Amino acid sequence: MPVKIPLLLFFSSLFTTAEIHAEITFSEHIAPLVFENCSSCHRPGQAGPFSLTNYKEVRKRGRIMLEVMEDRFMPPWKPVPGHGVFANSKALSDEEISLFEKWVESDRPEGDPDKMPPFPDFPAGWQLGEPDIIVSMTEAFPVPADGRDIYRNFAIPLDLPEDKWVKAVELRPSERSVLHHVLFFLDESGRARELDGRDGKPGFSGMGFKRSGSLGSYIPGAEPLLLPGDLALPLKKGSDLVLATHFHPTGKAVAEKSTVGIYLADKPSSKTVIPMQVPPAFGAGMGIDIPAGDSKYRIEDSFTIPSDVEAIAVGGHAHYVCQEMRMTATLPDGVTKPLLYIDDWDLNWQGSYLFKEPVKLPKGTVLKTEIRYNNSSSNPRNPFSPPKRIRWGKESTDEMGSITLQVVAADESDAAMIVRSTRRKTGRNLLAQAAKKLDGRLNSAGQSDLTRSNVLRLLDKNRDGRIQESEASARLKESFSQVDKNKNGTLEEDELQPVVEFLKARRKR
Amino acid sequence: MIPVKKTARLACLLFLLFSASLAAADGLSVTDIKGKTHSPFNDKSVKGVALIFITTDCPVANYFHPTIRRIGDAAKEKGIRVYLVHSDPDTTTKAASKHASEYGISAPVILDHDQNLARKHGAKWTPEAVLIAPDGTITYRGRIDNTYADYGKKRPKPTKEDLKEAIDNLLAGQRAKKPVTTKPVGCPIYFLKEKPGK
Repeated sequence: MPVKIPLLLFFSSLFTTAEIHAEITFSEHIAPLVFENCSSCHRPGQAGPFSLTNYKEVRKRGRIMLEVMEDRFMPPWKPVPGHGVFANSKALSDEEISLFEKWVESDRPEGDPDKMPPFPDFPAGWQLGEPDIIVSMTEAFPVPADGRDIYRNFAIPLDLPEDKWVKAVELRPSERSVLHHVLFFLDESGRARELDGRDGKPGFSGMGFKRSGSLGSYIPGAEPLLLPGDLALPLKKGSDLVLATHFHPTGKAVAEKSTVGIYLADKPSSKTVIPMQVPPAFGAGMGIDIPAGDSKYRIEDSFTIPSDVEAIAVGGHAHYVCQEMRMTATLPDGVTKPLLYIDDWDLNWQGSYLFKEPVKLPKGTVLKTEIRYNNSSSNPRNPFSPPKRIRWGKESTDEMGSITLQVVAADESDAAMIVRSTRRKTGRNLLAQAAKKLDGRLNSAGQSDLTRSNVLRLLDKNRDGRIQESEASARLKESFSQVDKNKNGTLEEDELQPVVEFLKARRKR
Repeated sequence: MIPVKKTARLACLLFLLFSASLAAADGLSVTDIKGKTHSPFNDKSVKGVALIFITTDCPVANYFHPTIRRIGDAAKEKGIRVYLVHSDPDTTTKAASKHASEYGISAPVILDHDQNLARKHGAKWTPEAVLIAPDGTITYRGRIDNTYADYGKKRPKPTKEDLKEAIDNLLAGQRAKKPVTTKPVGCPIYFLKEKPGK
């Protein structure tokens, strides 16, 4: 920022406050700040609701600009500065906000227009140039003038004849103001395509398909970013793109038909981008069960990195009552590195944050995620009034919670091993949860003796002496193949020993 | 001597108070963007007027139009008149008409280019509602409801419908000594001759 704050501070001892205020002018100090941080969205045809491109527009909006800056609502940037250094940071410094405040509180002088920097040459169309693939929603989706926010998925067939590698995805809405955010998922199964339009309207509700991949997200205010170096994300042939879309009614009835541009790499990624989710499975194995009114409910989980990696990006996921989330890396030498801290989680701004420089994390580094929920009425985003007990689930009024660190192996030959290790971690978490549930049921069935036969009796509904996958609880199903050592598709009594050991270990804690 | 002085001062004060309220009651005459003049309190069946300050491009103010319409429609038959006021000198008749049709606004829309309506009624925000009794006193000034807890912090449903409550209280004849006020969330009105430091 070419703002002359030090000079100003130096002179502040020589002049009165009024004279200092007179020093801050739009042309010299405010225009550079606004053009760099606000105007890319706040200009005609972009997501911002009004333009901030010249003196008159900014003078009129000075007060609200200051309020939303002080609130850290604008520019939209959730990570707390000082916890991770990001390439796409939009955060204003305290000094910048203070400078803007002084200008607003003075007469908002224009100064010498000749000293104003030229208005940036923002791209008019696609921010990253002409995409390699351009697709649109097959039909526009009508959004009413008011009512609750709408979450809707749209399947867009890509019909790719061969595998591709993706560097970036850019979305252009037809009605910017109504589109809050979009997550880009991939579906190889064709299930999303089947669900689309079933209820008579374009798209479908709920996550009734298995995501086979993710290509990032669209959030107003965040420019699309190319993955660094020659990294790229796999896009398998035959995959459909699924836009998981959040609409917020704006007072005006509109219909949205988004267009998506996909930027491809000309060769496969040199390294596999590996998501390390802590806790895994969006917290499904954490037994999230938040009492109504509890403002300090916490979960915590950690994962030990099995081989040297470099972290590329980080992002979180949770729903309405989550309030705070944090991921910290503790290196083998005891040094801690904060990777992400969000102190005012908002489901509506779930960005992915690209590190400015890849973060080196050696083998043995422990990634720890801590998440706090506020399920009291002091949380205005609470979906229930009065508050209700909230458990883990896939609906937006249920809760989830996890932070995903995107890493690459320092040595690509370790990638497969790292992926296996993250899968084992997922299995362990889910099994722990299954065990907890099972233990509860054993106790309530009066069979508190932890024996294989008791576990078998509880689950074996058809009394054939073994457990079919259909008899397993939802969580046990997810770790079924791990428990099924002889891979015959059923769990026999002798295979239930790990489950019993788990239950015993749980009771000891 | 002293009692006389006091009485004189009191009389003076009373006169000022009365003339102010009379002026407010008589003075509420506004012309909408279609050229129609409204003097609502000339009609004895009118029990109150809600001025709602808006702008064409404040997302928070725009979000409330369906709510404002519902409140206005329900209160109309009970004798409440709703006017939407743009206190932005840059808003043209054309822009206000376009905005009204886009957002399905049925209430009369007023352009307050000299910002006198906003100043006189103490409105500083959009959206901000000012509820006026037939005698000219302001009974409520503030937000429509508490859907917005802060910028970007929306409740799924409001838990307090302040304007609706204020209208119900006015109609029920319940009146506090001072106007009830709440702090709106939205976009501040920029007064052209705003004093530094506000």
